Amino acid sequence: MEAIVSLQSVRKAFGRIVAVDELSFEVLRGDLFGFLGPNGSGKSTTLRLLTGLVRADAGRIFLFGSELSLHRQNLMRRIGCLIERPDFYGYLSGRRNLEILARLSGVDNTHARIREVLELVGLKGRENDLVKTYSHGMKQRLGIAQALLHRPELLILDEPTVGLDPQGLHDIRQLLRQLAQQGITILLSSHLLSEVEQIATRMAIIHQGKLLAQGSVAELLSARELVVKVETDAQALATLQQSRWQQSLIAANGMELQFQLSRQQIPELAAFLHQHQHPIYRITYQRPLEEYFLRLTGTNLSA
Amino acid sequence: MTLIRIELSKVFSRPRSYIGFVVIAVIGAILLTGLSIDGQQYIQLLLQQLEHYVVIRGKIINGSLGAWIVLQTLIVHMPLLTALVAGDLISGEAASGTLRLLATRPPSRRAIVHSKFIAAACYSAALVGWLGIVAWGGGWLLMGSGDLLVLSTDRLIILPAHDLWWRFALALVLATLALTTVSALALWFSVMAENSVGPIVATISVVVLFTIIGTMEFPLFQRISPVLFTTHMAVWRELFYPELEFKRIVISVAVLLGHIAVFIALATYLFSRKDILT
Repeated sequence: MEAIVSLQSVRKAFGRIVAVDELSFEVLRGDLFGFLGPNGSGKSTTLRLLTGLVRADAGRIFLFGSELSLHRQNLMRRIGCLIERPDFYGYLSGRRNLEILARLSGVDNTHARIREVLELVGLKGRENDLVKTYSHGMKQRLGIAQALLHRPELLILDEPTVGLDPQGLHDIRQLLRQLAQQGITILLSSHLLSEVEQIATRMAIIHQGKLLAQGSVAELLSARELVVKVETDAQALATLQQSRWQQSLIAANGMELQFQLSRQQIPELAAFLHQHQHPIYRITYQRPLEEYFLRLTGTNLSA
Repeated sequence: MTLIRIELSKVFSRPRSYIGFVVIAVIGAILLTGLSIDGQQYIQLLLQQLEHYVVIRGKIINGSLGAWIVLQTLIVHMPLLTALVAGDLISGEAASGTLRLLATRPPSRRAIVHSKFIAAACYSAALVGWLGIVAWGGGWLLMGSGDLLVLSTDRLIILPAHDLWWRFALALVLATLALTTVSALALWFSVMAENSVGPIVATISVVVLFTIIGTMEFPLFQRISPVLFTTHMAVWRELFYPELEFKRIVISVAVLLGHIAVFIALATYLFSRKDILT
């Protein structure tokens, strides 16, 4: 499959702080690519490098097979992006903002296209209001609308769901899935594990500017075991220690027992406890990606 | 052209851009009203020493004198009004985050700087044009037309009314060039800043500093003075002498154009290499 984005040993430092360190990864055509990392891990800097907002100190960046530093102007016609906050000219209406950006991108039939994208992101009816009167969620939608204006082949979105209410989150995720189905390659940065887990097909994990892992979400997570916490009675520990579950037991804290299990083993463990007449008050487990991320980075994220 | 049209529409959509027009109207109105009420007394005071040698017939306090006096404000507040808009063109967009929107579109960064400069130059021309309307139109409305008595330190000059329109028109063109130089300086500073206060203050500081250097009569300063753009910003005054010194005007125009070229080249170079982080 064709690599739409390819970073080769890219490095970027701001003074003594190395934001991106020898970073290499690829986004393939049709990917809904999750770019995951804690705050300050270098995600935004990487996306700025990809969109030409900052210049790499070393390494090479290829988009659609062409080197970004040599073909920026042509490549920008094929990319739509929303980097960091959705900032607009507050003294202009949403429509006027889109008109300006459409003209800069050389969009034909501007008015019809603006109507289309406004409808797509659910901003129809508010387009003539000044942007300074928009809520954060509305600006975020307008940010996605401007990124889609010129029908890009690659969409680069930096934390596009930050600050959205649950309905907004759902709408944007639906929209991203819909766009991916239309063949648009999407590179989505996020610190939300649940987001990447739910919608991404492939992903990369970055920490302190370095790449920790990349691959398909299914591949990276399939072999993962879950950390399962079971709250039961005080006698259950003795029963379990004399069974095959002893090998999976990793910690015991009063009535709370921790196991490392595959997803399929959870009902088996529940059945075992039930069979030995130990009540189960609660079973919880960390999501696979959360556990995987924690193991790789040593950083806990709240999803 | 698209980029220039967009930049112009942004400049003229912002309330801040109209501060200059209001200030010019207010200052023009105050000066012209003051002149029409107390002008005679003021002129008598100025001509006190000459009254035994010169007999002046006709109406000295007229719209031409009013317009000429209002034009003097070009060197006082006009650079500030120009810097207020030009200094914000890039730094303001950096502060508001919209620079990211611009820089991730197909136009090159060089094209962005150049279009912003052209927008700033057009804004300077609009401000000077408005000053001309206020000075000439307001003066004519309040005091009627007439010959112009030029208040010069070394001699008394009277220019006939029919010989004035082209002098005023050309003066406005030269004033636009002078203010465009200030705009170019402000734009250069604007590239280096992340908010608009710094570039505006820095621009005005440079104008004030260079003006002081140009005014002081130290030998070193006198050697530097001819290459400072501030020395040539008042070149429009040359047009209010009966015989024009073309060589001086051409030199001043060349110095101002040279400064514009240098400031814009620096702005383009720095902006092309700038990391856009905000």
